[in-house]
Amino acid sequence: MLKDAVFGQYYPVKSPVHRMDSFTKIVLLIIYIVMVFVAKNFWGFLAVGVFLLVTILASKVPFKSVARSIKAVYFIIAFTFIINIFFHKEEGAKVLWDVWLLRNITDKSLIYAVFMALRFTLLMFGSSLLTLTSSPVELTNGIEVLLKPLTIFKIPVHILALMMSIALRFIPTLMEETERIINAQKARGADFESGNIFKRAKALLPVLIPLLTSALRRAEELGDAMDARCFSSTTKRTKFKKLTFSWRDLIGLLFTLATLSAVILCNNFLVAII
Amino acid sequence: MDIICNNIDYQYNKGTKFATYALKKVSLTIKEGEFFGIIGHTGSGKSTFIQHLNALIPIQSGQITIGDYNLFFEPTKKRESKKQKKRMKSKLKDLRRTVGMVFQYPEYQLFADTVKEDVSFAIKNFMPETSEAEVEILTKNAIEMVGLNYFEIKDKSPFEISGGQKRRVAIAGVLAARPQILVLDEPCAGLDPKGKNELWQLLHRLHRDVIKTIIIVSHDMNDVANHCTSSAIFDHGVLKKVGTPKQLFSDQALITECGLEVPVTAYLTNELSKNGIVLDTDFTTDDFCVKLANAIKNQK
Ligand SMILES: Nc1ncnc2c1ncn2[C@@H]1O[C@H](COP(=O)(O)OP(=O)(O)OP(=O)(O)O)[C@@H](O)[C@H]1O
Ligand SMILES: [Mg+2]
Repeated sequence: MLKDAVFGQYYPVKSPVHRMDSFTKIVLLIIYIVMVFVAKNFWGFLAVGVFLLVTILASKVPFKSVARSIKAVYFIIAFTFIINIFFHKEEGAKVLWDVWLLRNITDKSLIYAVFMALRFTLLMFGSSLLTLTSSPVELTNGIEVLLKPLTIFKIPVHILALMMSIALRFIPTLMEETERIINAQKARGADFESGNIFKRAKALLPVLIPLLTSALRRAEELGDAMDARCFSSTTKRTKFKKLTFSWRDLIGLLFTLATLSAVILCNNFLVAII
Repeated sequence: MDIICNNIDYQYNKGTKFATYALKKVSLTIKEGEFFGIIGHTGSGKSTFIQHLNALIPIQSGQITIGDYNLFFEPTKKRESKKQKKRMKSKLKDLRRTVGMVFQYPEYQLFADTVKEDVSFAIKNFMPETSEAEVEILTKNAIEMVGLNYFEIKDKSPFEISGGQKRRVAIAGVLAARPQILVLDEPCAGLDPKGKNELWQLLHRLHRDVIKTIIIVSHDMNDVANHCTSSAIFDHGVLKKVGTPKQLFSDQALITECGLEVPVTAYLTNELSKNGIVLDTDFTTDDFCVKLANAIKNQK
């Protein structure tokens, strides 16, 4: 169904990770991303992997759902892997294979390519964990706090955040509307599946026009409703749900920082071992 | 053409965490010629059920027979021959032509530049071989059927006519394909009393002249009592009872249990019987008034 494409992401269960503050989660994701790129050897990646595993277990999201995030980008991962394995050059590399299709593959390029693919995978897993454990509304709140400093440059962050949450709020509504209109036109014999691309694009008109008019109507109604409640973009707004930093966030932060230090440690002192 | 439904189950988001039952073991027969009401509180599965009738919702389990059409669960086959697909598609089109469906707030699906073009949409889809002249005749008939003046309205934009007119045009857009069965999902929603009355008259006219069976989802028990030959009550996806309005609304306990209210006539009949006046009425307003008048005369 259409709805799943956007909102299939959020996985509604109760877990410490879900209950963490969304702003903290975004910050931790940024640290995590740094960590993934800082890791340079096997032990570093192992530390990141353990971190990810523990977080997934704590979030009670089935591993299958996390792994699904990679579906969209596996081609990119495969592509970077192949590019790196053929073209990565480094001093003092031993040639492993140089036959037939496998030209100039060195031990260094193989390791580099594997690490690069691993980085992408870990990145996807980590960021999907954020969207799996925070609802779109929570995410918007988190992003608003994150962007707060930009108000110094006269960027209306709260309006941007409002726009984003309104857009998010209306996605499911419009999806439902789309499904309803598609059904209504199907009942009048509309056929969206046959013919060439131009025919199909034209067949969508009876869906797009009513959808557009209804979106405009809704926008107008929403504007009126906000006016009627004296909404003004210039006055300072208070929040119904305040973001708070709890012990869960503290544990998460400490755990992340610990892993980051572990990765840095692995980079600098464990090189000799492997 | 009778409609026979057998053991229909339906779940939204089947197989996921969000699975919800919308229909449970629904078996129902709707005879040709009926003016059939479907009632039930919000979320009881009425819309889900009627969308099964022209295969807008694929059947998950059970089967539906409508005349020659047999609908049942078909696992989606990856490899189907083109010929097979084409045959399926044309059968589906036939079914959708036979069973016309008017959704809730149908005026929100108008899209074309002119009323004429919008109403002829179904004709062009279902009968692509029809000549221009014939399309025009069919369109004119459909627009006149819903009580609008064809020459006045045909070149107007469907976005500039009034709300009541829009709804009529939308209904005309379904009638244009000459369905034998007409299904309407809450056609009176958002209409004023006058518009509502006119719509009911229109439906009765259609039922008398061109449409064999009318199936109507309604929230207004008074309407159901006054207009339907028989109806079905849904409650949480379960078909609770089928019968004439008289049979249904005499069972006040059942109606209340399903979260509905009996029509005013049924309520008054019940109150009067507590006070010793027993009326044998079918709960239409006319019949109720006649029986009550008789009762009063007799007492004198
Ligand atoms: N697209 C959908 N996705 C998931 N669940 C749905 C969807 N549509 C309906 N449902 C659920 O299925 C159940 C039956 O819905 P349905 O629309 O058939 O009810 P209804 O009787 O037509 O209600 P109403 O009188 O409000 O129109 C409800 O519980 C509803 O929440
Ligand atoms: Mg409904």
